[in-house]
Amino acid sequence: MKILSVFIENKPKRLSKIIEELSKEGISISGLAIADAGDFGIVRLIVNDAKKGASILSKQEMIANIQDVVGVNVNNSTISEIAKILGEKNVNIEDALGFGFINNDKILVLKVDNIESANKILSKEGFKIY
Amino acid sequence: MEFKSREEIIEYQNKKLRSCVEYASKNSRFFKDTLKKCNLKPDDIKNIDDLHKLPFTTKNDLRDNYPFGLMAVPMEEIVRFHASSGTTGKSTVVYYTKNDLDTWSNLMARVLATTGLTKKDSMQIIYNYGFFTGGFGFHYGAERLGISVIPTGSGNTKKQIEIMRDFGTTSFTSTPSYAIYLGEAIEEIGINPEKDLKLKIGVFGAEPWGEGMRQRIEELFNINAYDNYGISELCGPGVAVECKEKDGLHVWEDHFIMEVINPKTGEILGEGERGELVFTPLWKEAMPLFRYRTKDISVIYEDKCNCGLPFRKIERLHGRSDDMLIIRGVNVFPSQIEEVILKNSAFKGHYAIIVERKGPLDHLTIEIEVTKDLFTGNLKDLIQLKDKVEDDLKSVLLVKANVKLVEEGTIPRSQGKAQRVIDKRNIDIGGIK
Repeated sequence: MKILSVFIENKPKRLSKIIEELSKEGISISGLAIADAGDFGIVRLIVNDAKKGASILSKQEMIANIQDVVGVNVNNSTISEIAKILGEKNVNIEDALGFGFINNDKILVLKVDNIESANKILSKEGFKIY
Repeated sequence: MEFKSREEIIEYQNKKLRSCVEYASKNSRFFKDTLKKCNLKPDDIKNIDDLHKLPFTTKNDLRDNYPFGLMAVPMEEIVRFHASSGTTGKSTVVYYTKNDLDTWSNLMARVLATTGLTKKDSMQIIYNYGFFTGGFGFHYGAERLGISVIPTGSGNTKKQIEIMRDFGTTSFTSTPSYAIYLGEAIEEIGINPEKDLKLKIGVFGAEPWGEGMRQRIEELFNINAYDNYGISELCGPGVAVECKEKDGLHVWEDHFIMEVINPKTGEILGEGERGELVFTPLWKEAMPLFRYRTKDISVIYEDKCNCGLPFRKIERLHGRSDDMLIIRGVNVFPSQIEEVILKNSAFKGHYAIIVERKGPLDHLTIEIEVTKDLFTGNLKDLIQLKDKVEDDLKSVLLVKANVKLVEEGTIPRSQGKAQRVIDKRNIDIGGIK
């Protein structure tokens, strides 16, 4: 699946501005995580249309891009199960980007070194991939 | 005039200096007073080795004698005034006779010819025409060389681009920071300089700029970019220029005697030593000057340049003694910071240098805009970049600087001389006047 990543300065109102601009154009946000490095950070968003979201923010002179990640349905499983399965098949989890919801399903979002094989492995094990 | 050796140049300088001293001692009230104060006679200054007997002339001398106190000819002989922007106090006024303008035009024609320009070229002059010497200096020099002059003046970026394309302009001159602004505007509207424009050469100056900026400008326009140097008190542009080697600026030593001094003590330094440049022009009628302190920091050196010019060089300017920041006792020039930022090629040149005092310590923060090209979406990449620039800065400046990545468009853009340093300390750094 694709998520939206936005560069953000650690200042008041920056986050609300991003959300506001997206909502105004009808983008719905179903997951949010922030990675911060002091003065600045990256906001990651699960949205219904990442491409449109990126172009909306670019027009507002914000720095945004789209990232390919693994989104896996975890309604009935835990993060440790997923980690174990991927680990056994030598797929490295670089970052856990957080949880989100798509149609009331609980999604775990992961950054891995090989998305294609991670998706394949998880599908094979019966997980729903987004 | 052809020079075969260093000795010939010095001999020529000695001859010129003697006639300048004689001329000024007869015509310049200011110089007469100087001789009197120092108990000197014109005969005491026979050659360049005697020059040190004369005191330096400073910008303050010009301010104290505002507006016409250094004039050495009757007003009716003056055909032009220029003035430098007075950021602190009154502006300094300079004046030219017909012969002065003539010589200045020749010096500027030489500057342009040295970069490879000929009468077959056209030049867009993107400098303010007015009290500032840049516009008229380049204009007259280009005209003297037979270049087709396109006097667009500064500002109005859209129009500049339109003229550049429609006229097939082959060269232009502006401040380097405006050149980058212009180049990015060209890129943004989708003009391909290689295909759509005929530019070959750019000549830049009026503010310090480094190799990183040169590279950026050359890439943006697909041109050769050359540095030139001059200050209004000496004439304006036309004192020194880079040849095609792009390795230091040749000074027209048949028109200027140059010295380099310790800016704090006034001690005369030798070749290869970094300090403040001091010039004695050997040709001025309206406003003779001796040992004028430029506040510009550089190094004088001699190399057998491949271009064949016999004149010694100065290094590209590291900044003005005025611009120099003292951070925790260490001398820091903004141009050194710029060099590091632009060497990390992901950055496009928009940055601000902020100096604050927290408790007893100075803190140096460099704000750099993150651009779309550079944003991968990974925090790790941003942190790596920030660390890399901080490490590079530390090794160049010898003082720690914090790099702060900021959103695009948050640092104000400039169209004239760049104002990149924000010193919030509010203290008098003293001692380097």
